[in-house]
Amino acid sequence: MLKRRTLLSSFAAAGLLGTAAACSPSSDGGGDGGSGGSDGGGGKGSLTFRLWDENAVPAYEESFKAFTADSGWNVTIDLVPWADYWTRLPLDVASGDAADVYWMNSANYVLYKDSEDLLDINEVVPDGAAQWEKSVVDLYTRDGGLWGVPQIWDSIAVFYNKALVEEAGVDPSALAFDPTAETDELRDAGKALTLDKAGKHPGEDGFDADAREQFGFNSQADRQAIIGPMLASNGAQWQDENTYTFASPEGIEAFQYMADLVNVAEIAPSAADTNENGAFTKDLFIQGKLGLFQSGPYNLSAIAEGVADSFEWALAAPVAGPEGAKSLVHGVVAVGNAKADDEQQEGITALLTWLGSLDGQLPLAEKGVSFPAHVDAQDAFLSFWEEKGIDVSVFVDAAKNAAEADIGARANAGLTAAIPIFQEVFIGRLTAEEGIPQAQDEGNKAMSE
Amino acid sequence: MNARRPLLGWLLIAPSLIGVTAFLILPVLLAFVVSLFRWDLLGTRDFIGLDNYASLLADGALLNSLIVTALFTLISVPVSLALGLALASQLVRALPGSAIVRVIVVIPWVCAPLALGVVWKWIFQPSVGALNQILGVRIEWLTDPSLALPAVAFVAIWQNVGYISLFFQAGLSRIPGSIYEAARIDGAGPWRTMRYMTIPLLRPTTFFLAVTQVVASFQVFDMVFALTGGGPQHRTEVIASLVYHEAFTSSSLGRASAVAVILFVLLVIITLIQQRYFARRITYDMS
Repeated sequence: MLKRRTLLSSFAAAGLLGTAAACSPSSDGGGDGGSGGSDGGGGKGSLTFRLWDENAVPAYEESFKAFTADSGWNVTIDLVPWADYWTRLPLDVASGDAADVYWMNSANYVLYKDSEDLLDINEVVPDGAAQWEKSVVDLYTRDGGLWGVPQIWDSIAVFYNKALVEEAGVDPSALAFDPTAETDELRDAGKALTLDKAGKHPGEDGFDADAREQFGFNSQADRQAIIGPMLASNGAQWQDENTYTFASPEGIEAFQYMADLVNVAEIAPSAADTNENGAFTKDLFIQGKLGLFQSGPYNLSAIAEGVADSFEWALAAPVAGPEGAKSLVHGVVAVGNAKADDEQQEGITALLTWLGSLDGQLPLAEKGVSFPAHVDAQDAFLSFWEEKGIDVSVFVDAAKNAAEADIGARANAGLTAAIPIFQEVFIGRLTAEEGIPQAQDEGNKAMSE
Repeated sequence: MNARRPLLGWLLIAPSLIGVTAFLILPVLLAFVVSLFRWDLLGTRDFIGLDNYASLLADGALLNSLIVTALFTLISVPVSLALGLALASQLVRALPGSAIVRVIVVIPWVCAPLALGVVWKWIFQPSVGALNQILGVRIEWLTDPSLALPAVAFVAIWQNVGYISLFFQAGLSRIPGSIYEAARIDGAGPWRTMRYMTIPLLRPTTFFLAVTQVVASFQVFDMVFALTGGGPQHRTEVIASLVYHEAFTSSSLGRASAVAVILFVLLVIITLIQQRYFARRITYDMS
């Protein structure tokens, strides 16, 4: 029977979209996967599992085959691309059509937890937390509960092009910045790596920034890879509970430094390119036109496949600031649908327990998806990349000194309000002194609405 | 027999009536109801009366979106109509290759606006985009606040010109050649013929196109979303884009519904004004 809430939310969404005409980028649900899973083996019933990363689907398919054989529950995988994920999830949850178990990130989970849509993992998988990456467990612990089974996590490091840094005489293991100094290791390295068409470096007579063919570093309005680590490394606090506090003197200083790498030092690509296309610098790195690319394990596969044999690359610790090297740690969890039908709850508990186990997570590690949250599965991920000649242990070290991730019921709304103003600072139309307090106000306003 | 006629009429229009009621009238009414609540879709609904409307009017986002949408419409609709008419007047002459050109110019209109937005985003890229490479310049088409809206409007015009020209071609082909012959004998040149004969005779077509294009411009979303996402500095935040952001990034379904209701009322008013304007003008029966 259709619930009143289901009807109202469905009509509300239809009315909203109908009145405004085709607002949703995927009104027909295009792009869904839903073909994977473990059908046929079990007789207890069927469960649904939703995620946004197609790279993880083969690993989960393998994992769920074993789960079905073990538990008797079939699992159908529902793939919803990232671009549609956060548009469709609230509609599906509100209308009672959410998957039994689904992926969640730290910027969004509080909203669902507050509306009592999530199972408390401390009750579903008692004593499970000890086996998972602590930083991810901490991220999803709130009000005495743990609101998801950690699946994968990432931290930040510097990908570097071996040939370019050797040629420029740069030591990627000693990259540091100091906004108060005239220059520093990062600016020197960036300058040595950046070249225009005539082979000139920034600061040299006749250097043409518009004709740059090689860049030093990817300073851009990227919250996870650049802004978060650089701010924390300069001693700035990101937020205090549900209020942004990044417009401190240290925060403004760090933002101005990052923008100056683009517009003054000219060692990073123009924000006109990176604001519009966040993957612009990743593409430059793959093309061999960027020496230092600070990013996370989520780009490992794309870089390995894109670069192939065209040049050698490796990883180093993230750029250190006055407070040392800090890395933003993000984790993805699998959450249990607290409002699923009663007959599904037994299966949901079984699936969440499996997803938190070593056997459940090993395929994620063995297929190189990302760092698995189960600490005993992490060696398999390190081995996967070791076989390809890449030492990814630097990410493990980086995670030990984590910067603050976005958190709160309306963290997503706050960040969405602040990022466009960050972009204006990076492009140089606003100074950090002007833009960052404005971004903080707009972000706090959006978070408090 | 006569008594059964109204019943038969209702029966015949029933499928359409049910569809319109269920998928248009009811959702619009519910959008109005939702606009009176504070609701994030997941939590409880709090009745707040007209507070969503008041807060929208107070914070400037709605006014900005209305201005952006109006500017977008003012640029894209007249230019699309003018270019569509110019194109149609050439294609209707059945010059060699006209049939192929007719098909080619309609292709952008057939394509999904979101896909076109993605393609044009690449074309407009400052450093590696095709447009700047061809022109040999480095213009920040989509990130310069003064250029973003004209660039977005350009893509909309490019997409719609072929579709508009189809209607003008149909209208032009219905004008008897003898009228032009008479005008030529009376000494009317091409401009006077266009000004005093062709344009007035195309008034019904122009009315239809003007109404549908203005309504479509006020509803534009997916192409703008793909091109700029509403930036830079909210300079391309069209009203439908504001609905999307309020609903899905701010999780404020009440405010989003309030914007949608305002958009609905605005479109009704604009359509009525257009209808009155064209109703006062003379139309010609060419049969």
